[in-house]
Amino acid sequence: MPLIRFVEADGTAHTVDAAVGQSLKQAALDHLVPGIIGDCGGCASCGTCHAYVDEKFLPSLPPADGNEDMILDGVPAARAHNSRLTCQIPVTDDMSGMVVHIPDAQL
Amino acid sequence: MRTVVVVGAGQAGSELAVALRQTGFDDRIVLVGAEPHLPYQRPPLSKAFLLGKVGQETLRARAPEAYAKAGIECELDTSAIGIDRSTGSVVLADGRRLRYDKLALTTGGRPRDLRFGPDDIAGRALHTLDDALALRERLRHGGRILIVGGGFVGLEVAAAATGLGIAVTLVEAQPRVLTRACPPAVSGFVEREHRARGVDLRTGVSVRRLARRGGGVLAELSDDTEVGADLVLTGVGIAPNDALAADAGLAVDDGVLVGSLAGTDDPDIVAAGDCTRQWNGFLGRLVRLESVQNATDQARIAARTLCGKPTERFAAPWFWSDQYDHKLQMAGVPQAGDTAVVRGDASSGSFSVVYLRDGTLTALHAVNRPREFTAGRQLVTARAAMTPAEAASEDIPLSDLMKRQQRIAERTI
Repeated sequence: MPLIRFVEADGTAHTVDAAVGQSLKQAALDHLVPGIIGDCGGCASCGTCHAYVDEKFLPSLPPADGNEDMILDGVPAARAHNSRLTCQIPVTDDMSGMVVHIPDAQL
Repeated sequence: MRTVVVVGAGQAGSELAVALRQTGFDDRIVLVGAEPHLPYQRPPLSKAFLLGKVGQETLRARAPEAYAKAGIECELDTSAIGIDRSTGSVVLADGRRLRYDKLALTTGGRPRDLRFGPDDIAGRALHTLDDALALRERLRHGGRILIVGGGFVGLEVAAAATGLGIAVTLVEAQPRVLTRACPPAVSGFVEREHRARGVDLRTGVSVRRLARRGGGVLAELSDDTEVGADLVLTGVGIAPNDALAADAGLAVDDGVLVGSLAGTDDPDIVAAGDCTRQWNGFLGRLVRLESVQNATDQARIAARTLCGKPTERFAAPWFWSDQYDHKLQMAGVPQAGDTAVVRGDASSGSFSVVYLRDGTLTALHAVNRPREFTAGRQLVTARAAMTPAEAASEDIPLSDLMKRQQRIAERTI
């Protein structure tokens, strides 16, 4: 069970024991981390689970597909090169230590 | 110790209970749900879950441990049958009474019941996890399905059933599908896609009667034709579960009446989600909104109200539907009299319909255009100025209009 550190926009940090196979979005919801909403349930339709993922882990993540890329274009918090929809990232064993920064606004 | 009782353990109830904790309520929270399951997401029931692409575990709103961690007592498989406002208690079907200091109603909706005479046969509904489990099991055996109602649930089941190799007939009494939710261009696209995949889709036709025939049913339609089917699914919308509130003397009018802060006419009772008819500050009118986004937004608003930190939210409501590999995303609620402008070629499978009123963007329906949806949703919320020419011109990306809107906003602050 990898430990993932979610950091809210105001700096409040939550280190959670994420379950392998679930999405980063669901790990946040299951551990009561505020700021990740995920209204569409994880089908990349709503853009309410945007976050900035750890640079170190970026290369090992499955890349954003065309749909995710287009949703990210319209998120209200500034899109950065490490912006992702957390519903599209499955948790794996080698993610332990990953830091995920949550933006101050979601769609 | 104060107690908040939340009646209804759907997505609104779950979000409200969790949001109470996150907003700083430290005392007792009891979440009462009639179903035996912890809160789960309903939208996938007619989509990925029916297709077997996702399991029951991925439906849950939060992990079971999340409620324990938040100190939320879950009373599942437990129906509330009354509210005694004089003593501040909820009466449960098993005879127990739950004392409350504050009460939240998140009782959701129920499928509208449609029966077909003279044998009074009803189709099955798809509303709960148990409905979906039963339908999924039934669809495994193949056969023919008759779907009554061309709304989102009916069309999504049609898409899923077709994907599973089931022969689908869908009848819609209105002249086109999705009349309540979508403009003709979107309805037309959806109808073409279903027909292209083999769905026998009939509009302007209703079911006159259903009769049992062999192991299945024979449907007699209003155009004097007959359709045989092995199972019938009815998807003609939901009715709000507002009887508990009405019986307790709360103001109800096709939904529990709430203000923009989710308060009812009793200062100790809030309500959120599908069971409500709300004064919506963004739309400027009383409205029933049946969507996950509204349920969770309103739940968070209700939680803040209960915590003494009332915060109104002005944002465009939004909705989505997945059918086959198509994504429909809708922001705002168009009204009669809005001008609808089609952006792009509706026959290409990628287009948007933009609604304008008095030079302002009021709603946007995107078909396979997620980029326009995200920009459009913020433009609708911002009540952005837009001309019909801008709306129709694909040379002007909506994201450019969004940047213009941001510049205007900066100047006005």
